[in-house]
This record gives sequence, structure tokens and C-alpha cells, in this order.
Amino acid sequence: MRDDSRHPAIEAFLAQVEARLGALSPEERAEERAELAHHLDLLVTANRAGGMDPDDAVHAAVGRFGRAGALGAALAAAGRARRTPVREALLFVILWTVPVVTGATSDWYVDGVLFPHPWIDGLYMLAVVTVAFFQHRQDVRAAAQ
Amino acid sequence: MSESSALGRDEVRLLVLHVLTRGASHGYAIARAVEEQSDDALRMGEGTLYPVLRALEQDQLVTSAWETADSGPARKVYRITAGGRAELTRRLRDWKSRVAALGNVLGLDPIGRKGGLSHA
Repeated sequence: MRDDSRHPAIEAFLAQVEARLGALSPEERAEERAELAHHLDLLVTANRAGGMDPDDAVHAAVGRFGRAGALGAALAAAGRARRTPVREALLFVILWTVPVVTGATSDWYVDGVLFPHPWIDGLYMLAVVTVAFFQHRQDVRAAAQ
Repeated sequence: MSESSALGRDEVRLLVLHVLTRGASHGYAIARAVEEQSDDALRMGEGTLYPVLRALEQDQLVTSAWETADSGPARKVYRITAGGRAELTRRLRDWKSRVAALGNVLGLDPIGRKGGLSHA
């Protein structure tokens, strides 16, 4: 929540960070903003106690955070990674449902030596889906590191 | 504080976990604890600290909760989990091994064996 009593430089920094948090829900964005604002307020207070004038105290505090855009992007990426397990669970359920329903309702039957029975076809499909899913999850986690 | 006092992401992870073993803390207190305990030799960049805290939460090594303070606004407080303590133990062990190995290569007496660095 914007605080008009806060120094303009701090509000500008928070706004720049928040502009990169589009991937987060409104509640998550508000939490990130509140946490950063709290930290900045404490830094400013410490800087003022150390003898800095008000403007210098604010600019020094904001400077410690580095580039607002980079910070916002990093927090947004962390938020996306946080939601990944829920999406993964849904994807896994859907991917499993397809071969199970297909195998149960169809009469497909691969002629040949390898898959003489429909239930073996189904197990094979489930195995492929499972391996692909966990490989995908591993790739996503590695990219988020 | 020199440029070399800036900490990398892995170092920040290690230090955050260590600080939290001493009790729950919010982000500002974590950063200040590192500076105070290092006599201002180490600076935990705030731009690195918060992404690291998010990553630690995602890995379930820390948890967080908003708590109301006696005075001032609510603040987000972090606590280390059992998994975080185990991870810290593992990282400290790896850190000590690395320091010892570096010391061997550089011909230095590793920190902790005789209480200080000295050229062997």
C-alpha cells in the first residue's frame, strides 16, 4: 500500500520493484512491497541515527538494494517457482488420466510381440508420462536455480 | 567496506541459515547480524538477501510469518526448519573441507586448526 508519508525516492523504488512483480497475485505483491518498505524504513532510521541528513539516509538505504528492476525480476521468478508444485500436481493428474481413460475406453491393441495386451499398453503409456513429467520438473527446478 | 566484502548467493544462503539458528529474525535483522558479527567486514546486499530468502522458503529450509510488533508495523519473520538445520550442517562441513583444501594448496595453516591464518 502506497504510503504518502514515505520519502518519494523510497516510493519510487518500491514502485519500480512492484512493476516487475506481475507474475504474483495482488496479495503477494502487497506482501513483497510491505517487507521491502519495512526494511528500508529501518535502514533509513539507522542511517539517520548515524548522522546522515534525511535525503542522504534515504538514498543510501535505497542504494543498498541495488537495481529495483533486477530485484523485482528475482522476486517474481521466485514466486513463479513457488507456484510450480501446484501446477505440476495438476499436470501430473491430467497426464495420468489421459492414458488410463484411453486404455479403459478404447479397444486399441498393438499387434506384435512387445505389447500383446491393452493393459501393458496402458502401463507403458503411464511409464512414459511419469518419466517425462519428472524430467520436466527437474529441468524447471534447474532453470530456477 | 571494500568490494571484496560483497557476498555471493551461496555465501548469503549459508549465513542466513546460520543467523536463523540463533532465533527468528526479519530480513533487516539478518543483514545487520552478519555485518555486526563480521565487524562490518561482510555486507549482505539487500538485493541478494530477499531472493535468497524466497529460495530458502521454496526449498523448505526456512518458514516465514507476518508478526505484529509491540510498536511499529507488522514484520515478516523467518525461522529455520529442521531441514534448514541439516542443510546448514552439510554446508558448513563442505565449507570447512574447502577451506582446508585451499589452505593446503596455498601453504596456509587452515582456520580452526591453530586459531588463525599463518603461512606454513
